[in-house]
Amino acid sequence: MIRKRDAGCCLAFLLFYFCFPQECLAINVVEKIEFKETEQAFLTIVCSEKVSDYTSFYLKDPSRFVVDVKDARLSERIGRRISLNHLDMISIRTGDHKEYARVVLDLKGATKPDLMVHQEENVICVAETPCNEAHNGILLLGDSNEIILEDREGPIPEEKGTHGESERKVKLEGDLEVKYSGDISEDDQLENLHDARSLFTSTIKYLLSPQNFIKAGIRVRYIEEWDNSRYSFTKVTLGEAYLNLVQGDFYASCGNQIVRWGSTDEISPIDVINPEDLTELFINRRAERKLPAPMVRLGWLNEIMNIEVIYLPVFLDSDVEYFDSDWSLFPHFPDRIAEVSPAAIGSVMKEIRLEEKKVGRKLENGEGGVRLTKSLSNLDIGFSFFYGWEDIPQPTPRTESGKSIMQILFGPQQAGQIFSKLTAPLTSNDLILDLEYNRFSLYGLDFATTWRDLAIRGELAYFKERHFLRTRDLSIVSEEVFQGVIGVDYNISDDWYVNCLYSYERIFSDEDLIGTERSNENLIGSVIWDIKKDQFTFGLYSFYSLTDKSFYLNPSFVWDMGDHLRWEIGANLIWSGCGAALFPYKDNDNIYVELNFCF
Amino acid sequence: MLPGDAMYFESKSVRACWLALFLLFVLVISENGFCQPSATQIMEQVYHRDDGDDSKAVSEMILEDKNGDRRIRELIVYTKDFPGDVIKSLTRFTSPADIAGTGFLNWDNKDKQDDQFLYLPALKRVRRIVTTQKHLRFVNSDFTYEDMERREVDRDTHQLLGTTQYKDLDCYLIRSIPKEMTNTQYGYFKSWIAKNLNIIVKTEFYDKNQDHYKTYTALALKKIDHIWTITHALLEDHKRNHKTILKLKGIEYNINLSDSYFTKNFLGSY
Repeated sequence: MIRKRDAGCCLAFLLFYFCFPQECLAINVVEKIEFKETEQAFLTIVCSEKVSDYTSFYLKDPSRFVVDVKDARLSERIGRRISLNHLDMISIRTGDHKEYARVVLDLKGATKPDLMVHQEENVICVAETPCNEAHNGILLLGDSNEIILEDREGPIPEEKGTHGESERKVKLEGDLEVKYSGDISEDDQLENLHDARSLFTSTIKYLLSPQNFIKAGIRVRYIEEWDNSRYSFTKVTLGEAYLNLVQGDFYASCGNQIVRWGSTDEISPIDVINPEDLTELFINRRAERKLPAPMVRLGWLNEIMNIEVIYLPVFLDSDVEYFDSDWSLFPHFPDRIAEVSPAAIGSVMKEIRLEEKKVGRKLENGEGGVRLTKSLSNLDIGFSFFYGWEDIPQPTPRTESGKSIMQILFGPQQAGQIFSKLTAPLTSNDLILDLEYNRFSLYGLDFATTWRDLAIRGELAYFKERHFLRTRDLSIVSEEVFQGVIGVDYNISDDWYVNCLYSYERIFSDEDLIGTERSNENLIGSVIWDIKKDQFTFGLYSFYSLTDKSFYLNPSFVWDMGDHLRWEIGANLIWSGCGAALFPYKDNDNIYVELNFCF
Repeated sequence: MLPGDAMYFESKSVRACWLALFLLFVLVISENGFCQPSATQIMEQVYHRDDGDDSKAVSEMILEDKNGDRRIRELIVYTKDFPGDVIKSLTRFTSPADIAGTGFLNWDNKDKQDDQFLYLPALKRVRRIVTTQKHLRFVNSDFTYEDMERREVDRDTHQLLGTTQYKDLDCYLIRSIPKEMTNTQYGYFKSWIAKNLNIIVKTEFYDKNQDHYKTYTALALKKIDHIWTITHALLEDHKRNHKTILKLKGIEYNINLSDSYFTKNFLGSY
């Protein structure tokens, strides 16, 4: 019994021993810490036993170098802080921790001397490089300061600093799109069954620094439609060409550039700064349609909000066709009238001309705006004000008889009836309609946020005045308009992406207006399926007007043939009832193939 | 049996013996716990390892599919530590032409959801993107958005499995299990941490079905501006049979990058 009791006492002692505070557990004792400024191994940590292991590392805020001696405790004789009179080091501090004794070398400011740690039996030395003594872990690899763990890829290209390919001062970039579309069926004797389009853009970018650069570019557009009524269009313009500067919290860019405000995609009422390439109307996506315009942009990023101001001294109108193309605002109008009207009327109507009244290049004819943006938690909001010119002009007759011509333009089926009411023969002036650009001002609010797995974006826009043609007398009226858009993005998986957008527009008018209802609702949806990453993609884009029930569908298949070449095959399909916005284009259903080469 | 009774006393000491033996056993088997820093401490040291106040790196990202076909992309990554333990980084692809200009801005916030923005040159617009779908792949690489984050230590429970050699390096082997409620695609992962470097040199990722599906391996390290830097790394997706190789072409630390590099404005100006 006594023996059992003794055994119990022994074990209790062992238990007590193991449960005792950590200091008692560590059998190694740091007995001495020496600092000798003049020697290479300037810091020496001497322990009572051979050091089983140690770790060393830098820490910052404040900058310090740490050596942890494993399974060790500090001798009571060692002070907790030793002040140093050294160029780079302030002090040495020590401390006992649960499993190690810590020695900290406090460094001055952001100083980081190249230190190496060596261990020999019971001594740890901290030395400045170079040093070839035997030591632990990585330091066994000598003073090469490089460790190749596995050479799977061959040698890494040796480059100093970050001046690699990405840091090239001058970059030439470009993009060539060539597209052929063939109509699915011949529905009309005037429509062109074949359509070839190409767009070439190229830019030279000169980097002054990563944030500051100069760009200069060119844009060439070529269109050819053929079969029944040939149409061709070529335009060579300056592409993006501007200077971008950033200095601290301020930024500025000046020149021919594209600036997009707002946050939604295809319908974005706040995104009104740049003109658009509307030679194929809605077929291309909104971002692709944007044309650069000359402007000055100044911005200030500050703690409260970001402020951006833009000024466009010269108004540039959008590229839009009025008569000749299948994608004109009034497709093949004079020929169509001639086709459906008596020969006399037809020959007269062939003389109809639209003449743009250019906006004069005066200071007061400039466009401008201001935008304030702010990020609050995961919500980005922006307030915008813009005062500019509407991109699409409104026609006005030069003479009283010209009003009849306008009536025919918007209601060709009534041509015979209108002609019969004319009391005098038409003069050449009667057949000219002036296209007038009108001013508008916009107040916009936009936001972007995320909720669960959804990215949500929206815009609210109030147009103080937007211009329409009144049905009853074809005169231009200015109306207030409200437009709201909300869009949602969702990645179903790595391979599936869905985007939906709903827009509502309300025109505050008591009048009937030509070409639009007083309230309009639209839905846009797109789905992208990466069939094989970086190679095959299927896309489906659709537009549906809840107001006039017209529908546009664009299925496409993209074959990515590497870093520079891409093929796209798709279709543009349009369904529309009489009087709907898409009605003039209902016969333009086509299949297309597009080649895209970028460099 | 009463106190003072011999049997009572004997029984008490036998129980004390067993208890002591049991505790001794527990202590012996957990011996590592006394002699080595804890797994959490190691991960803390990895997390707080000095990687400079800011940096600018040029890298090559090589995507290799199961047939060995490769696509090579070049990118610049700017990183900076901000007050409040916020780390901001901006990644910009510079080549090839079909991806050049694409940018990704990440604000790695402490104690709240990160903010992420994407810039696609074709859209000419900066888009805020969802940060909850961390399992999605970053620009078709094997890195997911979760892999792009600097993983906070307290998101996982860490367990030190022991010490081991990995390619001549003395390493700690740690298993990290994401805590409940953590938004993650991983069931757990095992990390090899080079002892004196506080750098993860290998990680095996296991999905929620405990299947090993990704492996990250550091292939080369170099001391640049006093900071040990991974210069060559490989991420393999074993399910897809796909690889992403990252080669560092150059890096500069502590270059006093302006805060304006980490704004939506800079992201959108290309």
